[in-house]
Amino acid sequence: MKSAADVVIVGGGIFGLALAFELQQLRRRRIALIERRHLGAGASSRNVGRVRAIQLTPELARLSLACQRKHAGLSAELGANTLFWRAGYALVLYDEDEMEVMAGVDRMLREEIGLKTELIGGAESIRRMPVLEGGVRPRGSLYHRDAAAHHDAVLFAYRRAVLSRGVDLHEQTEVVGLLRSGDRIEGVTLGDGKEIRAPLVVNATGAWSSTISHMAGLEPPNVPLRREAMVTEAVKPLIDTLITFYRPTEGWLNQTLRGEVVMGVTDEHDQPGITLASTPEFAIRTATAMLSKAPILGQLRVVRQWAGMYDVTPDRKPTIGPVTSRPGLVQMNGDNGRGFLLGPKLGELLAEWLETGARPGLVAPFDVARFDAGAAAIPAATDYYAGYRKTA
Amino acid sequence: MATARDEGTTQARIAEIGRSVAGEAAASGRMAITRSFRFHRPRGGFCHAGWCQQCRIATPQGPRLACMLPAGSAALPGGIDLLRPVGWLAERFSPWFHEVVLPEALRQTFVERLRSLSAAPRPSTKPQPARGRRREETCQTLVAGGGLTGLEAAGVLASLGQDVLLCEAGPLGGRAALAHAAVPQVAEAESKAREAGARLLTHTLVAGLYESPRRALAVGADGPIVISFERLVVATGAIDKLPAFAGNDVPGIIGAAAFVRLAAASAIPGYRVIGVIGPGPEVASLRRTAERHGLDFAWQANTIPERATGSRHIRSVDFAGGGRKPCDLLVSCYLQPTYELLLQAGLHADVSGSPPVVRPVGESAVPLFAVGSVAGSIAQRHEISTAAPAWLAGEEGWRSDDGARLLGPPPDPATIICPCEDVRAKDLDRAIADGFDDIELLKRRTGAATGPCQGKLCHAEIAACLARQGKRVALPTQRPFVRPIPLAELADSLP
Repeated sequence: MKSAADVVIVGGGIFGLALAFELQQLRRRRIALIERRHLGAGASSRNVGRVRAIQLTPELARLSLACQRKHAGLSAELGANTLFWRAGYALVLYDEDEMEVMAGVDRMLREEIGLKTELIGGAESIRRMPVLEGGVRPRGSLYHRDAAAHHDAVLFAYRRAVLSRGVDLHEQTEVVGLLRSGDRIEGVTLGDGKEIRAPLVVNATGAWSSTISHMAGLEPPNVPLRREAMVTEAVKPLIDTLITFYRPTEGWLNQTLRGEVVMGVTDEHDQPGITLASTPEFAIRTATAMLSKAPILGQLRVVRQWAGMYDVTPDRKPTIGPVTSRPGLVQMNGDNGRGFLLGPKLGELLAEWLETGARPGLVAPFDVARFDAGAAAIPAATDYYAGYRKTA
Repeated sequence: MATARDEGTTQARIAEIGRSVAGEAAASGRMAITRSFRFHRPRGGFCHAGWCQQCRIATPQGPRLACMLPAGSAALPGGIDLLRPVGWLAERFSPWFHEVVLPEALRQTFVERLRSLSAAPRPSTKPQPARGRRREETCQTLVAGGGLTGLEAAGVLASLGQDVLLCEAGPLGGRAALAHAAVPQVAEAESKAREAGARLLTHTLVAGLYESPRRALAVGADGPIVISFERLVVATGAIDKLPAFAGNDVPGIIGAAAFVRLAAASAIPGYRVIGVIGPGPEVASLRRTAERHGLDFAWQANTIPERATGSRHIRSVDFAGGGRKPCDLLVSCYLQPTYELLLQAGLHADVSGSPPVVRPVGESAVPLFAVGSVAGSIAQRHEISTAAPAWLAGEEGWRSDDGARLLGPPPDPATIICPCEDVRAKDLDRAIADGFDDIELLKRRTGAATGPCQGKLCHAEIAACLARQGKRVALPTQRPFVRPIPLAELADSLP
């Protein structure tokens, strides 16, 4: 292991890998990428690979559209098939008030962002998503031809690309401390006592980002939140669309390329904290909700359940960029559950930012500096999800 | 004491399991009843007991296991060879789809084709209501497994004052009920346990363990049960082991327990040449059962074959050194102690033996007592009455077996290591050579151990593969559930 580098990236998930790749594309440098367990162990190999442009605020939608385009070209860029495909995405709605809220979102997405979203009625929803047949009748859906990719295929494509570009990859290696000189961050200390000095240290550890931020003496706004999922046995293609529903329960399901149905129903009372433990309540809650929304799934057998972590910020937007009060430290986190979608494009934008010193316009709303005056100065999320939590 | 009537009932029960759609097919000489979902290889059941998942067929109620459906209740799919060309193509590219880099215009079609080529069963379009209400149970000691030793442990612990709840996935008796001689003992252990106050839940599977707070999720005939417990007894026994050799997925290769069930259901007589592999004592015991049903073994061996020949049905087996033995049924008497709940309780996996077997090692997060064939050193039934008080007093109820890791030679590169996902030995070797030498990465890279059997058929072989190459031996994190559970059985039927 080399004791000096130009950049140390902490976190071997999609954020860290994408940044390492993009930095090397701009200019070859010495990059050490450090992962506590194996690549993707945190959240990048635990998500379901949705790549959706539909978002509920214009800033996020603008970024997400750019992120989706990045994903669409990723196969060519990385030289490996990431199994990107246009599955279609629907926010299925069960309540008249929701239809009104989503009519506004639909207008915003079409007029401000230029997406071709459609607000379809209940009968059309069932026609496009026959899996909902026989369940609670939906009022309608906000539909867009959004995409999915294979999370592991993306991760492994990045892995190969960064290795061939000379990035030093250290798996099963934990960062236990930051090297500091006053407020300046000058490198990392590893679990085995070794040190790597570097003028730039990037915190790309997702749900573990506050742990690293604390090492720098920061009080970050990021909070880790567990999300659970479960998956059924494989069957022949049954569902094309990536489905999400909110009120009165928040949940989601889609079918993987292999034919398994992945699903989850959130508990709005879940407490923050790092844990990858599954719960029996999740399994029962999810099965119960799925049977009410899509009763034909009742025959499918659940094979396993697992949990992953979100890194959540008060305004549900990423926290990206150099930390003003800690020269040498760069944040790249705050995935808020959209890490797989955002990773590749954020890697490109942050690499450009670090290379030129000029902040790209697209990431301006996500600059970590917005929290410099404390989290209280930033309005908390007023998006649909936040509204859901209030009324739940 | 058990009567002849009890014995007759047990035998009838075994036969009933054998009298399944898969058993009926076996009786008519048909072992190939479905296709593997990636390579479209002909497949038949190995376990005939509902865990190996190799006999999944489509029914109007959705995908089901042919070995668990009563005979005559579902039709077997026809034309299982029709898609062989697809399988032939898949064998060339799978699981390395990411290497097929295509121009943008073709990518969508590629993925859609990939989806549609799956040979997985067709789903049902009939709504299925939830089976029952969610229940809560509390006990001091939870016993998972109602075989002979599970019943014995439940009785001993209950008589020591413990509030005991025992869950057995099927009828009481487990594997012991398959052995003719053990039937009276099962009835005796059952009445002892009941008299001591143990609660016995049959047809209730302990599907998974959870931490903080410590609970188990069981699934019964009338809905999910969340069980709070303090201490755990694992008595889940052993399952038959499918050794790794080229062609080991050819229909007509079954486990010893499957043989007993099929024999009891008179589903075997048409097979003229029966070969048996396994350790001498196990084979001898199975031979006695076979004789009772008027069957005999043509040959037996305590070595793992190099290859099985046959496409839709096994024809012969080749051993190292050129010995070819013909057979139209091959029975494996090797055993794999069940380990899912032990690993979910916090133990780690090691592997040893030939054929390789998963051995749990280390310390558990739960006060754990492992009894019967699942266990390492506290194994025997007669030891339970002396070991149980010590365990309640705080002594370990589980001792790791730190034996040497004596592994046999690697299997043929073409061997299907993971039959659920058609992952071959050479696929694992290649991924390991590419640096995917951590079990979690290896699993994600190749898909091995992610299918419906959840690794029961392949875990030991994957671990052995890592061990032979000097890599860290581990299994993927063991998560609920130990067997696939229909959503309708997991759901709470809201009032």
